[in-house]
Amino acid sequence: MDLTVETVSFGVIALLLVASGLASALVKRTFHSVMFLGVFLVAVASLYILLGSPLVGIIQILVYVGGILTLFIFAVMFVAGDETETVEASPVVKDRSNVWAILSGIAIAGLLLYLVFGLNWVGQANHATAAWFTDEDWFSGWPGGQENWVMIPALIVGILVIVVAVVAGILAWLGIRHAIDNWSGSRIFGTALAAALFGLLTAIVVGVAFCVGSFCVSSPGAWVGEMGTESNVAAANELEKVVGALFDAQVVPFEILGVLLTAVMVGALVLARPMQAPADSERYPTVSRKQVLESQRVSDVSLHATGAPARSIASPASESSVPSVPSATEVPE
Amino acid sequence: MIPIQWSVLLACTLLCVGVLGLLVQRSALRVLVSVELILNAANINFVAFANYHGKADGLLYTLFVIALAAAEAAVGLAILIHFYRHGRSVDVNKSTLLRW
Repeated sequence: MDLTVETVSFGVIALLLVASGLASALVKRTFHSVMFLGVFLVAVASLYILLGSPLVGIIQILVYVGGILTLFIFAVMFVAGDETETVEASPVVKDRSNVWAILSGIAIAGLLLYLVFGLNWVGQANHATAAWFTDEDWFSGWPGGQENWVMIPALIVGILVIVVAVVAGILAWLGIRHAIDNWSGSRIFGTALAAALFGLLTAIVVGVAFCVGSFCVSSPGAWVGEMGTESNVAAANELEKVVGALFDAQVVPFEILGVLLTAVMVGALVLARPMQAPADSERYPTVSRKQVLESQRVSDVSLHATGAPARSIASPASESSVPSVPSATEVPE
Repeated sequence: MIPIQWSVLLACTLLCVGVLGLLVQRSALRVLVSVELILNAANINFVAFANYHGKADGLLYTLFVIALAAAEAAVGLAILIHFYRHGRSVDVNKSTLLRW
């Protein structure tokens, strides 16, 4: 590999990404982890810009660093204290279940490395993915060409999705049956019904998106020019193209999904609402008009500027304990 | 041009780092952070292949994934805070209500 500015900066960004990712995943304190996540996100944005997509990089910074990271920091603030620090990471080797985790991790890493280096898919993805979804007898030629093996991970993911859907259905049914058994728990019934409805809607939307997407993938003239060239990068990042594709027919299902996600956000707000919040009268002591006037009189700038304790307005008993500070503005009776 | 294999290898590495954090950590907040790592690893692939093929679709999907990550973080953190209010803990091993 020749050392150009591009490749060297890619190496630097890659090192930064791996280091900050590892630190974010393994460092002890939660707040430090979130800070390293910020480094990671900014590095990802710079990688996007290096790859030739400044628009996505800017959106990454705006949404991720500006929005999501702030959310995380607020969550640390709400949850933290001593609790988050005492939740220790499980020791990597001692636990027996972690041995299985390490083994499966090695297996996943091996599969990924095989996909990256073992398969000759770079350059022939063109016809590997194009006709696969709509080809009528795709079963017949399946193990034939090597390019078809690329779809095995997609097949595995599909099977996993089906399993997840079945489990979700069982859970929803259990919830409904539980609600029927003790009818008074109408809240559980409502939750189960909402979950089932949401699952149904999501399944419909994802199905439509999959069908439309498969049509788009198989449409002729899929690629613009020679793959992996500078002109291709420029062609992909034309602003009209990105914005135009936002309102194209193929992404409308995703936009419907976005509306559903908005509903999810509202649900999140409902979830996070305070439980049994104390009444305002309990949280704040009732203040009489006399105390308000007193506080207005005492809140003199010169009193606070000298660091002198403000005169307590809570009770006359505490007032006597506080040494009274003579003030220039205090008018003698 | 950055070779496409470099980007894919980097994305694989970051995915493995995210999965490692997901498996090792017990605090729900740390698990969410690891999920963000994984999503970003997927996004790198999207952007790399969009520029490789000269089509804007991958960039578009990246934008959707970013929006989805925002929604996921909002919902996840709301659930987390609710969970913390219930049990004064964010240890995911303690949430055993749906276990049988």
